[in-house]
Amino acid sequence: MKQDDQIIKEFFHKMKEEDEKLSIPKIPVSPPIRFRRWISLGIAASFLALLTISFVFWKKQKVEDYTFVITLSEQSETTSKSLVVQESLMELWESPTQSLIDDFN
Amino acid sequence: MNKKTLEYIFKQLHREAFLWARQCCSYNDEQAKEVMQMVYLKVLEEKAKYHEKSNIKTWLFAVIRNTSFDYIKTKTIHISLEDVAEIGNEILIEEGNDYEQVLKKLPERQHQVLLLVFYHDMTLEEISKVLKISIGSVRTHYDRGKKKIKELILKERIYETR
Repeated sequence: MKQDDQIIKEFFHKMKEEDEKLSIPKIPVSPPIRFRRWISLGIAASFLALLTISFVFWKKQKVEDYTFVITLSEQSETTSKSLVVQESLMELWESPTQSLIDDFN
Repeated sequence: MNKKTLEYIFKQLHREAFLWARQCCSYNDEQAKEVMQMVYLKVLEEKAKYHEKSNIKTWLFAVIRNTSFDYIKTKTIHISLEDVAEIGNEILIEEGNDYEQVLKKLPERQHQVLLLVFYHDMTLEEISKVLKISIGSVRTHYDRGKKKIKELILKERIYETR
């Protein structure tokens, strides 16, 4: 049994030696990841700012659309004169040529 | 454990971690590089967190194994029929590497258990955590794997001496 293990150990030992020749890539450093985080944060912040600005402009424009002017005019005296309108009723209506008829008669 | 300590430990374990990633990716260097990138990203973005329940090497090896498993799974789906012929040719070319070819003849679990015991000097308990299987299963794969690899090594030796 021990001899079996020895054969296997030897096999893996030689495999390790072979792997010594392999070039190991450098460890991926963390700054780019942090930097990427900042980029995404920056994009989010600028998008938010753009959204806020456009919202403010939109709101301002909306207010301008509905602007109405209230003018107050001062009247010297309050009177109901203008409200009373004299209208001629049909019963009282007199033809403009009525006088001619009358004269003829 | 703070990030700086974790980064320091990763630097210490990097070589061994890369070799394990390579072994999980059928000894493909490029795939192993991509897997390692994904692993470090997972760790730094705290998608994979170390809870200090086990040895850090055991935990890192488990993350590498899971990541490479997922990576290979997605890779194999996207292989087009046109590439199949190219892959076939690559397999024929790969036959030159003795140790890797011998290990590839073993079933996946036996292959990984033997690598973790003899190459990465791990205990059976640690291996059960890396592979997420019971110690009993690890022992079974270990015993069967040893028996099979011995046969394969002896067979190779016979061929060499002829």
